[in-house]
Amino acid sequence: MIPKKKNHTKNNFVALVKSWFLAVQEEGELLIFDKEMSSSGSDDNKYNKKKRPLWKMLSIFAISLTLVIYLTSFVYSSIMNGDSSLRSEKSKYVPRTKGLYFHEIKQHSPLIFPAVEQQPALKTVGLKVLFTKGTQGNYVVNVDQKPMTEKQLKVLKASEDTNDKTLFIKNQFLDHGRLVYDGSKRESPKTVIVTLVDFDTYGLDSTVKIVQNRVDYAQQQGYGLYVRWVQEFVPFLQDQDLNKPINHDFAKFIMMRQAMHSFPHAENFWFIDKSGLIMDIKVNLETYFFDLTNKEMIENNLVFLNSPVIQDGSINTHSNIWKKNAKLSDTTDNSVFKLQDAKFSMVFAKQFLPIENLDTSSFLMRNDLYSQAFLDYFGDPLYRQYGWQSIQQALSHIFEWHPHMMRSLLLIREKVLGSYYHPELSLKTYKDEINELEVGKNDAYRPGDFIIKFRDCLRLKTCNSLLTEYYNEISK
Amino acid sequence: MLLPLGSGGTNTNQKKQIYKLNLFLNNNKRKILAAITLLFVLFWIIPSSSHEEINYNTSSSLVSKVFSSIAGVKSTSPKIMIILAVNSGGGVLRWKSEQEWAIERLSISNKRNFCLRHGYGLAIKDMTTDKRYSHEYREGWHKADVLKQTMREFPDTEWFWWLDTETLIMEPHISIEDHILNRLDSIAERTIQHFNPLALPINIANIDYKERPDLLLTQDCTGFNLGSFMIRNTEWSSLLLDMWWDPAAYVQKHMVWEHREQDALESMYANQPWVRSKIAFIPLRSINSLPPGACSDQANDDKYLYSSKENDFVINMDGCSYGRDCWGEMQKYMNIYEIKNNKWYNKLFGI
Repeated sequence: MIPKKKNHTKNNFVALVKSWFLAVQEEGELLIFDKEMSSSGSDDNKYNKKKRPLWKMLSIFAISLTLVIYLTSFVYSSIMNGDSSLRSEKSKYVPRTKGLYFHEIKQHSPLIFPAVEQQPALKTVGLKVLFTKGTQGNYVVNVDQKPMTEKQLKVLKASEDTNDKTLFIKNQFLDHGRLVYDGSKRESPKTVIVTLVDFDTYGLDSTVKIVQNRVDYAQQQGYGLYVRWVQEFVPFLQDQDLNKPINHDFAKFIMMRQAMHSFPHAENFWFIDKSGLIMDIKVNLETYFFDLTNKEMIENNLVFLNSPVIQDGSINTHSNIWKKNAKLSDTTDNSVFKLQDAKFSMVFAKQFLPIENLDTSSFLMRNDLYSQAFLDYFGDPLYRQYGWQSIQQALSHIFEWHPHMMRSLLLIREKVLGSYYHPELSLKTYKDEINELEVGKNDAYRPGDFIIKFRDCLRLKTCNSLLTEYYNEISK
Repeated sequence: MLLPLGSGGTNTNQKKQIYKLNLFLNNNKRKILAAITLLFVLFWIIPSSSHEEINYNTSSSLVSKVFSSIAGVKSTSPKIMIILAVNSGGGVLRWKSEQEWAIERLSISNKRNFCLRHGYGLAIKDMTTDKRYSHEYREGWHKADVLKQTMREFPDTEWFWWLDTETLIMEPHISIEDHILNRLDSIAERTIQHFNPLALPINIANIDYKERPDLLLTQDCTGFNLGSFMIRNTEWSSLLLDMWWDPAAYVQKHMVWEHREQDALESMYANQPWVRSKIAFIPLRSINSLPPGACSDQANDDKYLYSSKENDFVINMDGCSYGRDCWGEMQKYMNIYEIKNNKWYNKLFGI
């Protein structure tokens, strides 16, 4: 209806202009005729004939000139505004984005993991050799140091000297932190699995199994993989005692930020700690998690809505899952959409120990403003040194004091991204229906589940044996 | 076309001249018509370059203005808005003097005239001492709350320019777009490497400077100056205003942070790359020139001090209530303002 109308008015307008032009022309001709009639001399007649094209030419010229000026002003302004490349030539110096280290090594394979076979050697040399002691007795590292060249690497590797061997191990350890994935946006994996390994507390065969498990999964699904030693982050912490679990957790957050830096085009970063195994490498995270709808999440009690993040927390999570970029008008309660389109940046699971708290051994983050702000908050020495009792207190603090953070949190059931190992419930011989158990218990691992986590296995000294036991059961 | 001819016919010379003129007009009817048409068309078509923004495309010409009003596309909220913080203290803790009232009045009318001239919005926000801000930890957090509130009030406004009471816009004919926003690439510094009074680390990990800045700050001799800054209404800004105040930081630093929210922002800038990514620094004198009393340690440095010869945009009598004479300074700069902005034709209208 509307375009028709427009057309109509346009036609009208054209007709109007035409008639006006005709009228003017007619008038002009009439005038000329008058002149011709009135004037007697032939010279005058000549003059008039000359004058007519001049008048036309002039008007055409004037109109075209105005049009050209008008159009060029448009083109000019669009160049000035739209094309940023033209602008940036004039703009001031802007430093490039860097990670923790200034120099970086580009790698084309999306699987970034350390040389695991060096683990015993790393354990022997220890942090004293890997880093340097600072003035306050803390470990420091020179972030501006250049990585080893291929040639140096070869020479060091071939050398029989023990000092050279140590240097080789040290440099390889440090250079691992400089690796970034350099694939284009099209090639880049959408999802990256992030794992932190520890050469101090875990045995070599455990670490090998953990890394192999992640590599198998990432290759099967075409994901990226980012594995680093927790010890690499010691110089970036204020309290450098890795025996405190909270420092381990801070290292996880620093690492997560580095993973986002190393895979700039990836969207989802899934942290799964070394105490967990992916039991079913056929499960695709997109179809398994992101294709769930908000309705399924709510109906199957997979999400905690309107619930405190820790035991007796004073502020609750939101009471609904929201759609991304939704306008206020179309967020009706019965709209169904996939989690892919849901509005959240961080996915944490709530665990029942039986004290309710947040699970930091398996969590998922989208690479966006809120996740980055969250990670940077815990990257700020001022907040790290506050003297938190535990990471739970720190997490509940950031969520409870900052509504934007709470809004970007999706609090899910533990089972979704990591069911935990339970000595009785996880046995194959256990027959009862697990879903009918009380809250918390029903998140225990059952054969066929996606993930198994060995909670607290380091303290119970069961990590190695459990990892071996369950590694053999992985369905491939 | 015919002009009335003198009937008496006594002055033939005059008559002749009138006749000649008449003849000329008669002979050049079309030329004159064309010239007038051309002028008319040009008047309507050429973009009026006085204050309208090309970048923000708020009706680049009169024609589009007319058409947009016909089509019903009305922009009710302005693209740029000044937030003027007035009545700080509000006479709660001590008597508010007459001079303070007068300063406030002058300051408001100064901003009002400026905004009316360029079509900006003006939000005058009351900064009365409030009980909720009376705790040592919470002092000075009014600013973030007022910003949040104003951003909610005007969701379509793009830029907010925060101004303290003791400021005067000295060159009201300059538009913010021409002066700052369209020139960001040439005047804004993304890093502090050229001017770093706080000796903050120049570069930290994970900063991403790819996107345009959302917060335009100035630095004086003591660091960030939050007496005059511009913030864009974005997700980032909203998150910043949320994260700015955090008790875990403030409980550790409230004895150290004399300038409260300013120090907190400096601390966030120093350590949090997401904050750094969207901040840009513009020269102090572009929106925040200081009077001789401020930064007295470096009084000779022309980086800070207002210069009327160089037509600095804004004067900020920052810290005048701490041992300086606010009213005296206000009068001094008001006089300069009047000398600069009084045009000869204003006398005709008695302005």
